[in-house]
Amino acid sequence: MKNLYTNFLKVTNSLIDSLGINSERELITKSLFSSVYLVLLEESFKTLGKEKIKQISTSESEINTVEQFEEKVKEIENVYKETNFDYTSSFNKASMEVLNGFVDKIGVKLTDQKRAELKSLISQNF
Amino acid sequence: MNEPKGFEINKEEQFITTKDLIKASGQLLKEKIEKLDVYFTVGGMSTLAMGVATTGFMLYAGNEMVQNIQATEGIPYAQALWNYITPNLDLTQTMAEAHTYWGQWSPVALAPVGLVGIGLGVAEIKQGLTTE
Repeated sequence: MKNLYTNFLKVTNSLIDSLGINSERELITKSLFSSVYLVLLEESFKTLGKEKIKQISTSESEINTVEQFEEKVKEIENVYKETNFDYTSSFNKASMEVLNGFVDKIGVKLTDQKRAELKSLISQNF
Repeated sequence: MNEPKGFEINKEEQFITTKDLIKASGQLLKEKIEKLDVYFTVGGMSTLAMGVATTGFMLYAGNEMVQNIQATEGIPYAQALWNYITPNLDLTQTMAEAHTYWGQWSPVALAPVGLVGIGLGVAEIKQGLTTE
């Protein structure tokens, strides 16, 4: 089974390496990773709809032990199972969207050849 | 101090810099936050309702994430998630950080830092696995 997260980190690292940047890698990766989750969050909420969003709502005070945590996660998983939200495929789609968006943002400073090289790296890995 | 420079773009000595990448990733993140902001404003959800719903998603996503790592690396997922991720779900700090960073309050500003918590958790797990 392909590991979604290490794959994302690997591709992000390759992108940054390819641009010759060695510093602040963690900060850049964190921002990109957060963006992936925001895209996923939006996609997930769109799929769930308002009623099911209410069902997965969780306050921190509800969870004080690992057991409570596991029980809550199971409940939430069941809500997601009732929908057609595909986590793996959505994660890969979100990763592609974010990393392509990242390349577009720096695109003004890239040659066409470099941009094509980076986009190809992204499409080959998701 | 000169900023480290990376990929050379042309003969006029323009370079991609670390700052360019931070700016690009930050702008992207801001756009995603704003997009969600609009979604929730239109959807008519309160900040509190959105916050708790987001926490639900984080639990689900975090669980998926660590299960996925467990499948390939073999670690007890719930304990790992509990140890590494939940301490990062400090909403008060999250809001303060978001406020400092963006200079304004945003109903969804709490989401990214909490989600970064998951990212940090994974990074720590990954580091732990590497050093074991």
